[in-house]
Amino acid sequence: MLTLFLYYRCQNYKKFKSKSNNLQCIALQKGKRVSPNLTCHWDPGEHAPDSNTSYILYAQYSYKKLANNLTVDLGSFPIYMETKVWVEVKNELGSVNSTELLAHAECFVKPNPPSNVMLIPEANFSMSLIVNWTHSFYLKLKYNIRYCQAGSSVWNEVPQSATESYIESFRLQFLQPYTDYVVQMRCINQKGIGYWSDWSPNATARTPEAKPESKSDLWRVYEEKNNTVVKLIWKDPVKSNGKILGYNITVEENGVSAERHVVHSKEHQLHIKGEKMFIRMTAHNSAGVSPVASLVVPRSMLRAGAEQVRWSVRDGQLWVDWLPPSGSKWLLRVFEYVLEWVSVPEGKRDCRKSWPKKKSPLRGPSVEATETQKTVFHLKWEEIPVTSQRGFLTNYTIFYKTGDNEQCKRNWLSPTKCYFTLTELASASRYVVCVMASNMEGSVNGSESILYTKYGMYFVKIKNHFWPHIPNPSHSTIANWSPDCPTRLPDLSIMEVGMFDGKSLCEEDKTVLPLKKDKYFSEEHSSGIGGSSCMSSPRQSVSDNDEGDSCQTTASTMQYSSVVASGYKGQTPSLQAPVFARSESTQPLLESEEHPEHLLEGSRHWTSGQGIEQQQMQEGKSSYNSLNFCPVAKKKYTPTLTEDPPGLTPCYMPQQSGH
Amino acid sequence: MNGHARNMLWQAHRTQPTAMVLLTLILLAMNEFGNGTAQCIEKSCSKNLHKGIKLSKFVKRATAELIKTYQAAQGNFAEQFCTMSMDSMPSSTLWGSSPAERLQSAYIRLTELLPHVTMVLQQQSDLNPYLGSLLSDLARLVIHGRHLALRLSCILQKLQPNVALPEPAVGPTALLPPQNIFQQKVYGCAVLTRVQKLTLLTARELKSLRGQCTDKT
Repeated sequence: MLTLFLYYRCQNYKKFKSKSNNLQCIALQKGKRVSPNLTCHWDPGEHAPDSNTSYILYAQYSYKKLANNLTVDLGSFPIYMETKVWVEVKNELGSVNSTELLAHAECFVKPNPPSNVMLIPEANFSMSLIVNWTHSFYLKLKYNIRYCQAGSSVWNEVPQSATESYIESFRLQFLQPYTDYVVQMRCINQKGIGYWSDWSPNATARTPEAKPESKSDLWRVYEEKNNTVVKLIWKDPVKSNGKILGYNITVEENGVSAERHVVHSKEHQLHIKGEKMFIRMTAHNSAGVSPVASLVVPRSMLRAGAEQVRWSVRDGQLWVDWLPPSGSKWLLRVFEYVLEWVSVPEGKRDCRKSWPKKKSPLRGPSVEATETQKTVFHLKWEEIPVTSQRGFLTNYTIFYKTGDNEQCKRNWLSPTKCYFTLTELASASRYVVCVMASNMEGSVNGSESILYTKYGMYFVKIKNHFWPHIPNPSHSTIANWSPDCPTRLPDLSIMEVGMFDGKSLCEEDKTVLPLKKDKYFSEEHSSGIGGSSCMSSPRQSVSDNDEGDSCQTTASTMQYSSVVASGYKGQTPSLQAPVFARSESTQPLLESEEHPEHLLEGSRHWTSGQGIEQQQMQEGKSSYNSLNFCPVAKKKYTPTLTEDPPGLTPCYMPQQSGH
Repeated sequence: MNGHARNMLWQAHRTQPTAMVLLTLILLAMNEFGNGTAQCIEKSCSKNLHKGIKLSKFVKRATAELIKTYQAAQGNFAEQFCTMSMDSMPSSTLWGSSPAERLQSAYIRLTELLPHVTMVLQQQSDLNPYLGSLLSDLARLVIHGRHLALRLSCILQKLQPNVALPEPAVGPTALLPPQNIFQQKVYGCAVLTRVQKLTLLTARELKSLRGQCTDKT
């Protein structure tokens, strides 16, 4: 059975039987024609078909089991012919026909989207774009155009009546200059029957530039302490209509001839020479110049400002309200307000901060010690970023603890200070310190820092007993050896040190090591170390530690600096010829050892240093006598530990560092 | 095929010529048409007239494009083929004193010409079965021509309900003399040219009948 001529009517249905419902058919565009394939689908109805149910679509003979859509090949789409379509449902019990579709064949046609859709700008037409496309169907179509600004989700649709005729281009008007637009198109049979095509892919273009339509927002900022220096700031015109290439500023002062400046930034500094300046500014793009923005800048800054400035947050928006400056004269003169705000992490202005949603701080600050002393920590921490504060900080709290002792804390209410000094700490102790930041919503601890208080006086005693200080040659003076040398000291290796410039002696030692054995500083006398230390004649010395890369020496070897006969580095030798007494120590003997009373005298050569050393100074002679302690040298001294035979009384002028 | 020359080279390479499928459809369409099973579903005279105008214009456009496709497929001297005339086919002129009579003549001419289009399809398929779009376009022309003929008959039934439609001549192409390849090429273009002209004249006559329909539907 074959039915070639099929009759359709788009809107009128002849319901002969209604066993199948919602029978709909569609034929797609193929090339320039309509595809001969007609696809129909329908609702099978209340009774679900079983495996023995079959459907026959009568458009052209086609048979398919358990389907609710069929496609028939009509050979050639019967354009302009009435077509009737129905479905026969058959099973072992019988057959029944669906509702017939009777319509013109064009009612089933769905065309393809218009092809080659392009959006074309035209020079000198800044508010217009041309839409071009090509016909690609043998049926006459009408079109639908929609467009929007790039990035927007709101489409503007061109009235269909404007694109009903069989055209291939259309001009969009009343657009914004220098703006990206996106266009899409679709089409349908010119009679409006059948199906709309899908929307075409996006076509994008930018309208040309136009001259700016509005003026720049111009304002001035005075220097804090100088009313004659003012910085002009401005924003681009709201309707720039293009890329602003630069700004022209004209300055006129009390009849003085106008200055003209061409600026490419958004600020400019001027000096007010007279009582006030008249500023005129324009912005320009490639298409033209903006209207003039003008500003009067008096020398004296207006003192009155808006009053009762308040802010609030509503629905994620920041609201600011204020009152005009009080006083009748301001009411008459104020006609414009300038609201200034800045993103706090970027700006340095002291402005009010606001958070739409307050929460406890995101993180606490990291604390460090700028200075540590015996019982004191000078602490500082960085203010946590505003974005991490999540609310106004109310205070910081410092927690510190040593050993298993109870944790202590210090509070104060000023969240603007990021430093504090902890006192009454235990000396020579390890502390764990952290800072907690708090706001109204909660608190959060920062990271912990391990800090150590410095060692006290007693440690120095012990240390010097076992680790004697190495004298600093720069603090020694010329002396004569006493010929009465009671004992012969163990052999020691000594070393001459060349002229140094105050660097670490360890390093100096390295540079001069090893000394040549025949080298001899004619004007120097050795300080009397080693077996022949009682010699009055100078001798050269070498060090066992020729490799000498360590500041620490063994008990059997010692490195020291030679005593300069004449003023070394500006130091004048003592007027009093020092007399040295031999000691059992293998350490070089210095003036201070010979005459303890010269200790304090010698102390004039050095200044107080760290707390420990200072304390030792302050303790004075008595403590020295009890400890046989030699005063240490200048500040920032960090004595290194060197071994010493037990029983010896360490008494040395410590060197800068090292030996 | 009436002793027309064939291209024997292509004969050996035929597998499933599309033309045969198309011809089958055409024959079936002709059969149904001839048996009167095709019905005038659309009852409105004015709507039939409107569709008839559209369909005749459509067939005219399709034929004009088909002529270009045909010429491109004929090789050298193709433009000259379409300038030569042939007498072995119905003319495209209409006769009658009234629009209805002229429309009736258009119906007769169309029904006489369509078998010649089928002949051209057959000949071109014999000459080159892989001509692709030319053969399918020729087949579509036959189908759409049948549709137009049906439309014209429906209109005439409305305009002259008491006048019987003349039956198309039986096997008009059987009277064609044998043709060589050159003659076939000329013949094909001549047929298409006459169909194009006939459909143009038909569209004019249909337009002139717009005021003749008395129904308001």
